[in-house]
Amino acid sequence: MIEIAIYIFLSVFLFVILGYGITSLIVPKRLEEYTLWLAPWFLFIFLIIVLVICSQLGFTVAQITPLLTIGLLGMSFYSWFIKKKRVAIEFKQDGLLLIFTIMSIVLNISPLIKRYGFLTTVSMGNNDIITYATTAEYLIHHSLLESYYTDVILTITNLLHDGYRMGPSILESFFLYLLNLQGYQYSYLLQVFLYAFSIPLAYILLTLFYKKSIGALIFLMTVSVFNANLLYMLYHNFFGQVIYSGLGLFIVILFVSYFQNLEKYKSVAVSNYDLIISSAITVLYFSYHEGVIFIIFPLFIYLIFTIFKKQESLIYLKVIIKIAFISFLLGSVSIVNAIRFDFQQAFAGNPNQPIGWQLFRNNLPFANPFEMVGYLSIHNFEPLALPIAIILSSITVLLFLYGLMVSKKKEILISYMILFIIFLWWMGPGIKNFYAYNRAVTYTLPFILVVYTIGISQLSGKNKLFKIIFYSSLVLVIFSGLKLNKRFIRENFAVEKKYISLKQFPKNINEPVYIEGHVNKHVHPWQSNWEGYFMYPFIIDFRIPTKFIEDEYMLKVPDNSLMLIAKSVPGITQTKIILKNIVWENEHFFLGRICNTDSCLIDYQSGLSTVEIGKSPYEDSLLISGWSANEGEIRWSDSLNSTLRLVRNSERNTSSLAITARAIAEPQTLTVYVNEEIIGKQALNTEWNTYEFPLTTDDDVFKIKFKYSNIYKPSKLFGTADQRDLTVGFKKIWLK
Amino acid sequence: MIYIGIISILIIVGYGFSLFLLPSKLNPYSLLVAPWFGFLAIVILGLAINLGKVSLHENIVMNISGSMFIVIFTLVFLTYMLLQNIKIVLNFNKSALLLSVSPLIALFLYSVIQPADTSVLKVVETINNAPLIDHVRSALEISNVTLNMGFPLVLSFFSSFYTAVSLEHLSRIVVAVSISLILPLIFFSYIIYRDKLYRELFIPNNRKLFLGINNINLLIALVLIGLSTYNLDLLIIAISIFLVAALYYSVSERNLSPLINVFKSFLLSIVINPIWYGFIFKVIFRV
Repeated sequence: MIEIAIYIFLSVFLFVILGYGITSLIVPKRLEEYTLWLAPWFLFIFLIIVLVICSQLGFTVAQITPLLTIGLLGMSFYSWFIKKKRVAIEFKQDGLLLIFTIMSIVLNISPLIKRYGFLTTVSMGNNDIITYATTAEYLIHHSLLESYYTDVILTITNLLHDGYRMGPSILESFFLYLLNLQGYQYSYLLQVFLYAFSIPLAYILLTLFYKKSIGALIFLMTVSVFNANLLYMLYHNFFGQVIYSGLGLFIVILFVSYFQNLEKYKSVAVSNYDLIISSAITVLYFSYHEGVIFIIFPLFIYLIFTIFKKQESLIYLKVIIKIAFISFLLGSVSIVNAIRFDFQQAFAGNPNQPIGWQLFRNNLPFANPFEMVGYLSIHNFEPLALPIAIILSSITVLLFLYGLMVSKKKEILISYMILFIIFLWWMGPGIKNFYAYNRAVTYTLPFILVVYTIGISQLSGKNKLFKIIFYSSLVLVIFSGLKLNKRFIRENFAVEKKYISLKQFPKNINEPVYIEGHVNKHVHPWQSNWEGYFMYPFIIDFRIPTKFIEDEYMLKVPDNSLMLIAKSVPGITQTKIILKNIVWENEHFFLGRICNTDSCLIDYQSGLSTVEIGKSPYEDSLLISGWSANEGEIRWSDSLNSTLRLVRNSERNTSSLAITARAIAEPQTLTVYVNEEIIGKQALNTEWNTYEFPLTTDDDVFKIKFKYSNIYKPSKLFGTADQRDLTVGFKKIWLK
Repeated sequence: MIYIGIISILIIVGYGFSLFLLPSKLNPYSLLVAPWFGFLAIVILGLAINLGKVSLHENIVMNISGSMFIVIFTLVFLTYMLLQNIKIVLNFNKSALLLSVSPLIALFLYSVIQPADTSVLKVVETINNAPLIDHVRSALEISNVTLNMGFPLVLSFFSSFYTAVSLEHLSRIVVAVSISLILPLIFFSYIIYRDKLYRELFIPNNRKLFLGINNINLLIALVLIGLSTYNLDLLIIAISIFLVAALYYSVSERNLSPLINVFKSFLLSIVINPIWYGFIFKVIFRV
């Protein structure tokens, strides 16, 4: 707990002291009053640009960070003591922004405080964070350049080479080095900061389109801090998207402010604005290029507006081209890669490709406008009745349109909203892909909330009753946000002490080490990822297994190989395999040699002629393929074939194979093969029964295959959420 | 026709850059040297595209190949220059007519030029099929040979437009065209010598762009990248000459700005393509 508080304090201290100088020196005059809130983003953009360039050149973060830190501190010193630059603070406004920022941080670190008490990474289910944590750690002592000519592990290649998305990791890497932390300790916390620091940016944008208003501030901050749709992104550790929200708002703020003062910069070759916006766009390409279109494309729509309105369209066009060229100059390689990647993904890829998310709710997972604002969490509640949903959504849309109407410089806002609405319509009612739709919702939501708040504020100023209704409605937003937060505290994966204990893993092992995921497909990727994170090196060497067996009657891991198995924990089913001898163990894991060949099994003997689900000590050494996860005392087959092996007992008095089983639905016919020969066929019903099949062979190890006539989906049979394909359930399989 | 085609493409690709990068006094001669800036643009953009995991023959967006992307990019840049000052774009010196004889000279030279070495042609074929960065990764090593990408990139670029022409044939044509373009370059050098404009390389009196960087800094930065793709020794010689000359001007004018300017150009060159320089430093310093 104290550790969490200390690192939060240290981080904020670093953001302020390192970011203040560079921000106060280059922030455009129009935005000077918001220096405090823009400072973290100026710092992040500067750090990402410099670190990426240096790392591509071959320097490691550890080599660059001391120099960079001194440089940034020097700028802060110069700005404060020599230039005498001071931040103007508006007590009420900045105080409230501070309160909401702190509120966001506290809300989102609540799982760490309430459940774990130490600095670690938590996720609501998505596994992406392993990539960011590993890459951040890799970049401390290795360069991006090195990653091109060394054989780095797949987790790192995915991020650095396939997407060129090094921004978030290299930023994290900088702070890991300064704070002397490991990736798993800081990955989630850094996202919490990025999320919290992006919220005040929404208010700055609102002031550019509307006016300063404490009422609007409170409304916008509340719907942003507690918005369940945005929190969902954070809780699933979509690091790129979290940084995108802040950068997107930052870029639009700069653009709007620039366009409002375009005349002043007409004759300047390259202004501060050009440089800052170009750098931010480059960083967006380095960090999350999928979202760039939402920020850039509306500028071309706005260009059409300027042509029709006979405004300064030529100056404006020149500015856009200039910014595009500077961005290209800074990040040409990433930009080329991103353009190709994004177009392929948008037009050549499968539009219905899931992206690793669970269905939010079975019934209507698409958020309607009312749910988008956060009044009702799609992650906690079933959809409202259609007439109510239509009425509430219509009111929300009308308020949004009113906000659009009364805002200043509405052409820019309308340009953004045109694109947003096209995308939402395309992904939702168009191709009906809830993954893509929800992505589009979360890309656009920070901007939508700004416009919606403008509508609310304007109307509240006109009528007191409206004011009371609108501000009371925030209770729903807070309730939905807290509900999701509660769910997150309850249902999360964390890098628990169990995984961290693998820091003690012996360093002198000179052979491949296999993990549970290699023999048990039901081990959650979270476990495999973090076991690998603590055990394996960044650069592929002999410790990373490459040799696997392809045999339907054997586990994939070669006999006698080293294998790491988690010890049994109440509530979690342990992988039950035979380890011949234990080489190392700690409180949570065994490291031993796997027994996988027939001869080894025969030598081992002990109880290998029976599999009693949930009770046999070596169930997973015997049930090989086509088996669903253990469910206490039952195990279902999840394929049209399943295989297993059993070892004749020492008395050699075996005469038949017996099973206690039931079908999930009828009709179901089971055909039994032993050593590839049919020994029987049996129609099964949905009651538990014991069946026997006479054995004709005299082998020591029986290679058994079950073939099923039909496969069913429980979700379709019983209307449940179970999406598996199942055939027959087993309680016991044994040699008699 | 192919000679005229290649020179025209080089002019289209290079004119915007020559207008932007040359000192304003040389603007009337921008068209004259545009083909050389065309080579520079092809190499620099071709390199960025290849390092961005797209070969020049591959489509980046819909049916726009890497090569076509270079043409579109440079045309947008030319449009930008038109928007900036249409008069400068259209006001070129008559000496640009020299370019009209280049196709004839190239045609004459063709018969005496040998096709490029088979190893070079093989490199072109390789980068036509898969981008340079993939080869760096699969080979897991970088060598001098890997870095000599200038000529292969130019050939790869033109081969995507002249698909019916064999690589051997095309390599002879491109070399013939390059030699034929030396004449305009000699005349251009004479103008620089005549008007003593070489001093501007070190003490620029030109458009300030940003952070104290001007168009000459950018020109030197891009030329250095271009040279590095032809021969590393050439790059080292060029850097040495720039440094010695800057030192001379610094001492003679008792002013550090020539040296600072050269330093800025080097730095800018690195910032524009750090991965490429990373590979170069790896080869030079064997790190």
